[in-house]
Amino acid sequence: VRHERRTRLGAAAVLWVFAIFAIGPLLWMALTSTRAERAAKRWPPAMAAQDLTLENYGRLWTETRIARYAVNSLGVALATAALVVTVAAPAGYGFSRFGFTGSRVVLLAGLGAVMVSGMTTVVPLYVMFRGLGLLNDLGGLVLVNAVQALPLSLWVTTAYIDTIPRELDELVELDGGTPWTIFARVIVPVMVPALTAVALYSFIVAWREFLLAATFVTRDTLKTLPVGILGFFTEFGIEWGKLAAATMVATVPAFGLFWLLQRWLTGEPVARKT
Amino acid sequence: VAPALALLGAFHVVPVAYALWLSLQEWRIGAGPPAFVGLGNFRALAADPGVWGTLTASGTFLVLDVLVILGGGLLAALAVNARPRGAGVLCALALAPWATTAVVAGVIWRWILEPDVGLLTLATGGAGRAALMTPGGAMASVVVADAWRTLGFAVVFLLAGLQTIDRDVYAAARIDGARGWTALRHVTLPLLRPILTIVTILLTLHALNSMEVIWILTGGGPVRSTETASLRVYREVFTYFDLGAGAAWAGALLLANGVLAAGYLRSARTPRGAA
Repeated sequence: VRHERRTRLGAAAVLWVFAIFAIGPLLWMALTSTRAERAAKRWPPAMAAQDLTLENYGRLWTETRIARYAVNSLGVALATAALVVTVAAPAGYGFSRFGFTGSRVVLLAGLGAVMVSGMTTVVPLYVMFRGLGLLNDLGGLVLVNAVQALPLSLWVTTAYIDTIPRELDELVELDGGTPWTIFARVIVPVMVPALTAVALYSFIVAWREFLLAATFVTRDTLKTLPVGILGFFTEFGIEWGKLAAATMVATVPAFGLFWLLQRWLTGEPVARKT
Repeated sequence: VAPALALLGAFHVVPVAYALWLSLQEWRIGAGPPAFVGLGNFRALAADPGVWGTLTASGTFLVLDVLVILGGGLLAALAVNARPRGAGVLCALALAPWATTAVVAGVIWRWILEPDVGLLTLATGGAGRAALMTPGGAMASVVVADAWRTLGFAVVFLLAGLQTIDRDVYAAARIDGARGWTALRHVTLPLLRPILTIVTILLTLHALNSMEVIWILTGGGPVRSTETASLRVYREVFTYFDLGAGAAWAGALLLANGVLAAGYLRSARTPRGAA
């Protein structure tokens, strides 16, 4: 028993180290965002009351298009989540219940392909999108984001539907239900938790996506938050206070959603034992 | 199923095939139509004196990044699994950076490591200046920054794996006198092997393909010491507008991705005693 207690203390210490490593840099950024620019470079970083200010946020609001970027990011992320859910729910149903020979292989291959290709697709997508007139088009961005989030989402929906007993399907079938009524009446209501997770995941994927957005969108009014922030980085001789405020705008909403998602991901055990 | 497959096909399979086709073309944006050059781009790539630098940078980043994240992730997952007080909240905090975009991660770490005004320089009285200004320091910096952002991803998978291990197995192991390190080495790790393989593959692909954090933190410098292959792809296309050369690098990268992933899967299947 003593041995076990020592293990737990050690584990707690290790976790504290990880948590501080993870959160420390974010707190430092949050601190920077609420201090006057002149105080940002002072060491030690004592908090003098007169240094505490919201002026960085004010300047961010008035001097940049941050609101526009935030709206763009939000729109793209919401549309991506909606698209992925609409596509992944029936596809998961199809994979789970009407799997043709080798359909699981296709699913796995899709997952693998997206993981393996990475950088390879950026260039051809750029050329394709230029041809299709989808550059500087947020709809195009939604499409590529959805493709990024789709394989894992398909995996989740398929696995989840696998756990729904087929007897339920058969009951509806006896009542004269078609596969579509089974899907609408049985599957969708039961899989709400899985669809929530898929939506949260897709939202975060789209919200944090940067490379494709930076490549496909050059018009300032269409930029998403990460791309807009990169613009600040190079253009205003780096005003760190303002930049820090911008990173907070990009980070805080994602954290709220992430909190919900991680509770789903790490499952009940962790949540219950706290 | 059809719409899902169509989306994947149109925006995934087609681009990959197109990338391979592009790699056989000589095509600079704004310099006339593409011309077929066969393996010319690959020959130019092999003849480029910078190729070894890029390969070394890629290899170093790959190995360090995967080892740091895998080791750290395993340690953190084991700690959460031991269920100390506050595990849930601490775990959530440790995972949080995963939700940040690469740009934010890059900006945050740049703000900490910046030679003149960064936290590290201020806190160490100037010694931290070396972080971004020497090749070794720059490589260490990009690994730390990337690990910071990616660790949570590894923890989630490894934790899921750990939680499937029945606690009775440990009880049985204890009766046989295995506890602590012995139990970890002979019970936990072998049982965790399938998940470890998957996580290693995913991390390898991540390390090979992600370039955003490196781009913002060091831009590939100093003297190209952190210019990995994926950063090179981006440079060739969007800085030098050389689509063919970019696609050749991308093709090489795709090959590396596939070979490494297949290699891990193979080694995972070969039984190797009680590892």
